[in-house]
Amino acid sequence: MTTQTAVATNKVTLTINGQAVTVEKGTLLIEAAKQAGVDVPHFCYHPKLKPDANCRMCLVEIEKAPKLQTSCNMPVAEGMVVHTDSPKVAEARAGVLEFILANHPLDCPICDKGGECHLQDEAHAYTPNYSRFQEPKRFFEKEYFGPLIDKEMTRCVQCLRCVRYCDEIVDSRALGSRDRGSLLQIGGLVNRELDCEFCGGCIQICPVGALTSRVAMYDYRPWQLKKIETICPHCADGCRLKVESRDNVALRITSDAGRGRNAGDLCAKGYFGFDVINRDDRLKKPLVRKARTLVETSWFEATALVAERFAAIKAQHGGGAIGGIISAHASNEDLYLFQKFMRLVMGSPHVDSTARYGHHNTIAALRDVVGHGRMTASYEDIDQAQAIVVIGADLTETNPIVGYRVKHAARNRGAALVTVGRYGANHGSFVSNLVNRATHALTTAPGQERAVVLGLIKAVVESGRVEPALAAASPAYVRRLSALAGRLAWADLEARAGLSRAAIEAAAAAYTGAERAVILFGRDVVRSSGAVDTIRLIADLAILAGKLTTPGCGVNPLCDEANEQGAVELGVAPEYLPGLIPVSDDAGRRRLAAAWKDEAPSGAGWTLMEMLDQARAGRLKALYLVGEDPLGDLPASAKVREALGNLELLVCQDAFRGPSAELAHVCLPAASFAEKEGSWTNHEGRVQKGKQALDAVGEAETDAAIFSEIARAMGYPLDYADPREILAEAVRVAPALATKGASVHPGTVDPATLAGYLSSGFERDVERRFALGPAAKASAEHPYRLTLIRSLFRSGALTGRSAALAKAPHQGTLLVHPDDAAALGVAGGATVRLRSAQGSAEVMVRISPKARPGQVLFPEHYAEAVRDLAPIDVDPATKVPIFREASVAIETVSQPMSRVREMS
Amino acid sequence: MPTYEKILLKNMDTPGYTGDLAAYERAGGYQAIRKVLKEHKPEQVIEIVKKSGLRGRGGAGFPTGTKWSFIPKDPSRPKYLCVNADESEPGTFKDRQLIDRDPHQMLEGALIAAYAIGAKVAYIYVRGEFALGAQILERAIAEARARGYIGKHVFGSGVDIDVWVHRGAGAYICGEETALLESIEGKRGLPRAKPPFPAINGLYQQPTVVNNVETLANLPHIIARGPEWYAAIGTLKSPGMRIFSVSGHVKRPGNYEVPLGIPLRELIDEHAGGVRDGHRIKAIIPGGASAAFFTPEHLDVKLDFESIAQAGSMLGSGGVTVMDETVCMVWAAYNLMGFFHHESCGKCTPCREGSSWLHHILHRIEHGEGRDEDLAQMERLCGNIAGKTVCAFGDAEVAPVLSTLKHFRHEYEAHIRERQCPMGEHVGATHASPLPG
Repeated sequence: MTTQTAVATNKVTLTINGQAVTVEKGTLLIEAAKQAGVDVPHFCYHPKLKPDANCRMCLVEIEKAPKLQTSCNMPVAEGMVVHTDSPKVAEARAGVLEFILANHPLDCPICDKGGECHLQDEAHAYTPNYSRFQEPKRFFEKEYFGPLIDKEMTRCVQCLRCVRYCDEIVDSRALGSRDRGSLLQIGGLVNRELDCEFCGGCIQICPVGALTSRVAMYDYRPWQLKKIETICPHCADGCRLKVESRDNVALRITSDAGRGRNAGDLCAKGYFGFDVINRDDRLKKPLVRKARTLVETSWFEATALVAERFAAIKAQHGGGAIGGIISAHASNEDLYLFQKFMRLVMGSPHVDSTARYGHHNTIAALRDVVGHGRMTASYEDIDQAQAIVVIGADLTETNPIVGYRVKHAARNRGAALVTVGRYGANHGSFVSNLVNRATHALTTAPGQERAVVLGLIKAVVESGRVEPALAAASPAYVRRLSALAGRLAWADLEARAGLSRAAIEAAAAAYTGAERAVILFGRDVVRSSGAVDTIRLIADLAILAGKLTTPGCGVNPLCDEANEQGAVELGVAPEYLPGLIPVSDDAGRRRLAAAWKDEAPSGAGWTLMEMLDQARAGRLKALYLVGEDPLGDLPASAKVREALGNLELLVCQDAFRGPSAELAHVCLPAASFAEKEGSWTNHEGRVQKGKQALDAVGEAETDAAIFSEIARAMGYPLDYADPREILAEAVRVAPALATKGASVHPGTVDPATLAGYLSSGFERDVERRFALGPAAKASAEHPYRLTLIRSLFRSGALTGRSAALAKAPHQGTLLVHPDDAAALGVAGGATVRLRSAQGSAEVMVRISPKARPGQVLFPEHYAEAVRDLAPIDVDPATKVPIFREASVAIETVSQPMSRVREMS
Repeated sequence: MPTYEKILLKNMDTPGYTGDLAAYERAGGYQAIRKVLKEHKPEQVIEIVKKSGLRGRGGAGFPTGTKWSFIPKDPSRPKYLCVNADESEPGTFKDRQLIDRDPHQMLEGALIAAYAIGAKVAYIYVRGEFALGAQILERAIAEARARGYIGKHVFGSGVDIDVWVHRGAGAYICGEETALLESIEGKRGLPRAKPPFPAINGLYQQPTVVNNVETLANLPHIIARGPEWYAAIGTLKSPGMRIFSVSGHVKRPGNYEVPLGIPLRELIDEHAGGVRDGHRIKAIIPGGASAAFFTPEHLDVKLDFESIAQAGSMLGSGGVTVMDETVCMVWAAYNLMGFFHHESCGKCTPCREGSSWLHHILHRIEHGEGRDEDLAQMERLCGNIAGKTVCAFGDAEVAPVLSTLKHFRHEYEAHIRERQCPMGEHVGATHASPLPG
């Protein structure tokens, strides 16, 4: 550490334009100049990318150097004397600009970049207002990078920022430079149309108008846009983005380089998926069911009706006959107020959120270990990790921004990357896959992630790499786990995992050998059966290796939805009051009652799945759905239709009219994420505030405002001046958030909780989690294992409505391994029928080694029929429904036309 | 005609020399590397080469021993030797002959260099068009490998040196050392921005030396006969022999190995047999297409690095092209600019845009569409290219333009004034056609 400090204090002093500047050693001259307040014009340089020095715009004069030097790749040196504005520099700059402008078209008036274009700015600053270029202008054949990205090569300054971004940040390498010399152009490396992750990064990083978005193309001039920052609602990465709008229509999304937890990077959903806000089919007015159809009504009538019906049911059957489910996309303010509304106004303990689909497993597993369900290592720890273990998470599809960080650590910083999961490497695909970067790819069959984790634990224990301090402090824990790990036979583990002992040991050594090591785990663990056991084992692995509480290390759960953390922590769950206080905790209840000046109903409430069961059984009479659409989310085997159809009152409050709304008695139009102020807690545990970017469409209102309105109508006012007041109260009544500093910082491990776990808590289910359990039997009738995976381009009802995202290629296809495709005799593009015990569905095949032999992968939210193939299973302890795997048979329906021609 | 002891071309000029391993060894080959492995530490080899004064034969003439000494001694980093056999400079064909006719001489040099810098792997980057050369090298490497000269424990020592052939794909720019490295790495051959330099972050970001074929071919002789012997040949600052590729309007075009420092006149008139009968020299390119044109006034300039530079051109690749009075100088510049426009990789602005712009202007002038302001415009554009590009290509492409403008400005003016080439249907004259880009 001392050497690091020495390096950190190693300063260099140089002179820039006569001004002495002291900067860190190794600083690039262009950055040193920036620190001194001197802007050196440039095109190709970007702080995110390795310097390429190709534009030559940043040439400066360094005394004693024989010629001008590019400041973007020149590290500072002690005593350097630099001039950025000498006549020689000015001449060189003007020369470079003249070259760049020589062939540049005069289409600024219609260029979407006009007004925020680096070339315009530099031309304005450094060139004469006439051109000496009198030769015919160069032109390129017009090409599009597919339906989402426009390429206008005549505007390109060939700085290759897009190519470098695509490679260095996204690791997608979809772009390259094609042809050479004056005909050099940016192109897809293989195909003219891009087949990539469509993160929009190439557009964002283009200094000119060469790459622009085809969504809302020519619809605005940049200076007309109102730009408001908020938080992306599409996953729990917590990206800060700007909603840019004109006349209350969102026209584009941007994110400033370096801003937010995403450092300005976005993914397809964040960048292109915004068009859902503007859709015409948004719910704009309240609807009430009259004579079997939903008809528009006024807020006054709708609120009165809802309040009256709820009150009537409450009076007749008690608050316990009413349930409420809210989406974990909602803001903290909406979530907090919803549970308060349900508990106090409705008098019901039945309040839950869509965090029930996954995050509750994490909470159940980790709350007794670390005190919460947040990441215990920050994003920066991921950046700096020497080893990263990713278990059951396809980050590129589920959490792309965390994925960029993992890829950065692996490819640019040489971190060991262990992937544990069901996906195979698929080199050749432009959608980068973490497995492609893995130094240790522990690819296993679905559901066998746990066997691999057990193997890793066994390897750590047997190689004597258990943290010595732990063995001294918690001998019982270490002894017990070591004994249990010892009881497992390598042969069984190898058979279960489908991996060699050597491979598992090598990965374990890479993990334990790193000083800074982070484990991430995601949906294939969290949303699968036995999740709690697997997650506990993951925690055990980190504890045994001494990598849970060591700085730079940690265990990081990943969430699918934007605010699953907030939903659970703010008490939107029947088992927890705000602050992760169990409803059975009397002291906690008293504290809450004092703050609320009223008592939350006691006793266990029903979870999401239980509410549906109780509705079917007739005990739940009314259900209030906020942003959640169980009919859209759950397979037919969950019998949601029967449940919702049995209700006396179904209120659906959402931005759109989804499948469940068709059974609703009242629909209430809700504001979208961009239309409200609020905060969201990402999976790191950062509470990030977003501003209201747009006025809500039509008569839509924010969820919190609607709750207040109904509460007032029910004679129990819950009034707040603004969302900030709600958040302030939430933090006040949720001591767990406050004491752990968790309202603003990522989770740290609670020492008392951990001590309790290590002394006796670990015993809970320890035998069960260390047992391999019965092996899954291969079914002759349904030989393939189908996993419903999450797609980068459509992760739920909201993104499913995006017309822009729907344009990305190769969506909604069944991934089949090449060997299986050969065995089945199907070609890519063939249509096959999947048959499970639950039903059948027809899908198109795409051949990809991402699916391992014997497995097929299909993205969720693309075909109801495929979703309905899965049986549903509910975790007995956490009540998390498991419905993303099925055993299927595959039959060919038809071959693609090309194959048909070939065969005839 | 003065005659000189041949060194590099000696074997191949011996009748019956086949160039295979046995022939090379019969001629005394592979003794220098044995001596080096037995008697010298790597640092000592570097010292010997420094003392010999050997300078790179690829074009820039950087002292070879000094280049090697930049390689960090850090044993934890792998080092690489890359042999630049991408000889593509117009008018230059010496490396091809060294490869085709005496491959083991160069291979022995490569082994010495690899040993000196601590490289366990050497890559020979062969110009794509040298299909035969690549085959010959592969064969020579196989022979040497079979004898234990290449691979593990070369010559029974504890030293491992492996050698691989990597073929280029036809881009001139890959002769630029960092583009060459990119190309070996499997990437598009674009020059890298420097710093960092290859000695620190070269191939696969590891310390790397890139040496020209001819440079390496000298090494066995320097080791065998001592640096003092070598340093005594040629001039004080440019010691040693040099192979000049003489082409154009001379009676005996070919490769001539002469000591550095002989006058240009001697090379052309005596070794290459002089200009063809009935004609007189009009212009000479002394060091490959990237070198500035000379005129007959320069015939007494001595062929060493310093003298040529002082006279306004460069020794460069050793490609000497002689043009007689039948050649239109505007056309010659236009022709060369066509080459540079076609070969510019497009990475950096001044070269990418400048080569195209200059080519267009020259095209117009040569085809009778020149404008009065074109000459000043070209000079200005050249000033905006030279010294401002990522690699030396920018300096190269302006040399023919600036030097013909300097020495033959009247020809340009006549083209513009007469709105046609005053020489009429001269050699190479073409009809106007649209240019790419």
